[in-house]
Amino acid sequence: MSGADILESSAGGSRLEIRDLHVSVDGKPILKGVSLTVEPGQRHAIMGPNGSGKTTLAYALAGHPGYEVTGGEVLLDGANVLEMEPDERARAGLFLAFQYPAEVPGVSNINFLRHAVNAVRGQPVSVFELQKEVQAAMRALGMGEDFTRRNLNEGFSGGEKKRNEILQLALLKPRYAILDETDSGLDIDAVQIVAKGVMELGRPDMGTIIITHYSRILRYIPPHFVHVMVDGRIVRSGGPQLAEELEQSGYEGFRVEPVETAS
Amino acid sequence: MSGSGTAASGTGQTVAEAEAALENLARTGAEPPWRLAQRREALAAFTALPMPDPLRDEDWRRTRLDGLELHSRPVQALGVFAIEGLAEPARQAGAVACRLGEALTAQPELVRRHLGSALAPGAGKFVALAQALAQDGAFVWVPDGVELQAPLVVRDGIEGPEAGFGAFRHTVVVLGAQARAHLVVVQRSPADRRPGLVCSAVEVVLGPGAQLRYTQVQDLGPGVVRLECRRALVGRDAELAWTDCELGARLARAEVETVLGEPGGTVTTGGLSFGHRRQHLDVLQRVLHVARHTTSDLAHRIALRDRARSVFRGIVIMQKGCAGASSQQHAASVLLSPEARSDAIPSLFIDEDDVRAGHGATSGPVDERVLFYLMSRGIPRPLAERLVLEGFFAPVLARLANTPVYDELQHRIDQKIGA
Repeated sequence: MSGADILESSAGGSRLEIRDLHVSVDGKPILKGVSLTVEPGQRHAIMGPNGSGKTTLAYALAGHPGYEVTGGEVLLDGANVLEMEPDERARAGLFLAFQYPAEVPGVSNINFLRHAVNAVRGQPVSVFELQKEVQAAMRALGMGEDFTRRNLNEGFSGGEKKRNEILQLALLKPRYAILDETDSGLDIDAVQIVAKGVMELGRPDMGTIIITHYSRILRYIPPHFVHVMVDGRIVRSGGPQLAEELEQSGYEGFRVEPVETAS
Repeated sequence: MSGSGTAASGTGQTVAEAEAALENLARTGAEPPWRLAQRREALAAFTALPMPDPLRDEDWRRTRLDGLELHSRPVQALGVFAIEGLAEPARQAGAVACRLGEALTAQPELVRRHLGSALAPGAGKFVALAQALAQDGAFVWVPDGVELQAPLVVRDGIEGPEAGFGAFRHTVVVLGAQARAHLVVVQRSPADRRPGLVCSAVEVVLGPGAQLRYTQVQDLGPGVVRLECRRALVGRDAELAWTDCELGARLARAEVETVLGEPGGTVTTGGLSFGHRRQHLDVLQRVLHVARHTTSDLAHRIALRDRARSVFRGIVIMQKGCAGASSQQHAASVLLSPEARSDAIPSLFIDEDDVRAGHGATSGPVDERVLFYLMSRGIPRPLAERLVLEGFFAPVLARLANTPVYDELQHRIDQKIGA
């Protein structure tokens, strides 16, 4: 299915709409007007060099208190996401797979999953049912049985943490997921497993924003659109072939000219 | 032996009138003369010793007893004191776990041999007070080689007139060589604001290779002042684990001294203090490394809400000759309000070259990074905070796994989180 087909097929329905988003961190502008619309089932890759604002976009969408939105809008089915607390955003269907998930001492993975699933689904799931779902997702992600008993991310390797993020995605079934460098620090086998998890364990109509440096993960999570972010702006958008182009040429060609003086 | 009963003292009106109370006790003939002599000696020590002076005594600088008016305190309390969990095979092997009064009647010589062996009345004003006026207490004796499989649970449910009560406790725990036991003491009193004084002296003696876990859940009412002194003598290669859970009382002070006087002795602590409103919770752990290759590991977890205050002092003294000894201590505090305050003060006094010692402390509000992560999964902030706190206390609760008080403690912590 091409990007254009998707756009057509879901026009007028649910969507995640980012309009001219400006975000500052510690008073310093990082995002300088980002606009992006994600329709159900669409996968958008955002690529760009370090420090271009990709992770800032992810955190701002999830509602991290340290990221101050100074302008623009984010709408989910027309509802103003920016007015929601982080937990409300999650219950509305947003999910951020963290690049560096926090470690939570003393809280077992299964206990955490139970609370998260209950909160997002809005009704308590039975322990038996949850165990069944968790076991199935863990098998698909090649996770050992002891994962559920271990404390949430505590002492997990980088790869284990990433798998755990996708396990949560599998259980919470978000409508829109943002994957923040989910491929970083993973070997090629792990990238494949995690990518397969995203493709097969999430909702079929999940809208996805894949933030990455490298095109590697895009082989397994093929995007409909690729955007290049440089200095807090999306400077170019295109189809999947843009990722390959970037692989060849790097980001050098996208260095922005000082926009203010160029006009 | 096990027992429970109504712990009424009937020994007098106030601390000032304690002497008359002891005379009354003597007239009843309920206790042997040597025991009465011990009480009188303790009362004399109490009278002679000064109140702690916060200006001169470093150990009392952060916990002031101003307004305690000890002498006008009543020395009566009601309630139920019970000790349970001694299995029949252990009893047949000679183990004793009962109320001190029962032990005095049933095995006077055994009690006489051990009462006062770790804590002399002169050890402190409140030790003397508790020993002089003890209305109740536990007596635990485990002979050589006997291992108690199930924990012994002491339920000290203190009641008393609304006008005020004074409960005094003297507990003795003696483990023979290679003996093993877990003693869990739960102290409770009504949850209203009635004033009360709970003063306890606890003596522990561990023979070679013995292992004792001593767990205390202090959940006294919000009008209570609790003063507890504990001292343990740890034998060769013996292991002692203290777990103190400080939840209740208006002002609670626990002063725990562990003497590692024989080679290879070990002490660990892993307790918690969880205060709210204006509670003041003070735990002082003092460890004396006397013998070679002795080990101490002190840890305490503190969470404070509102204007609560915690003091945790870990005083480690490594004497000349304790070569090969090692000591660690760590206090972690979570401050749930800007008005809460936690002082964690390690003190190391090292008089031997060949030792290892370290300490650390962390203090701060709940980690926002962690809260954000949990909230990003749909968990509302109050539940996220609860999970983080439960996780924070989890290592302490783990020390109570498989005891009958595990669920109670978890429930009380949950209650306090939501209070």
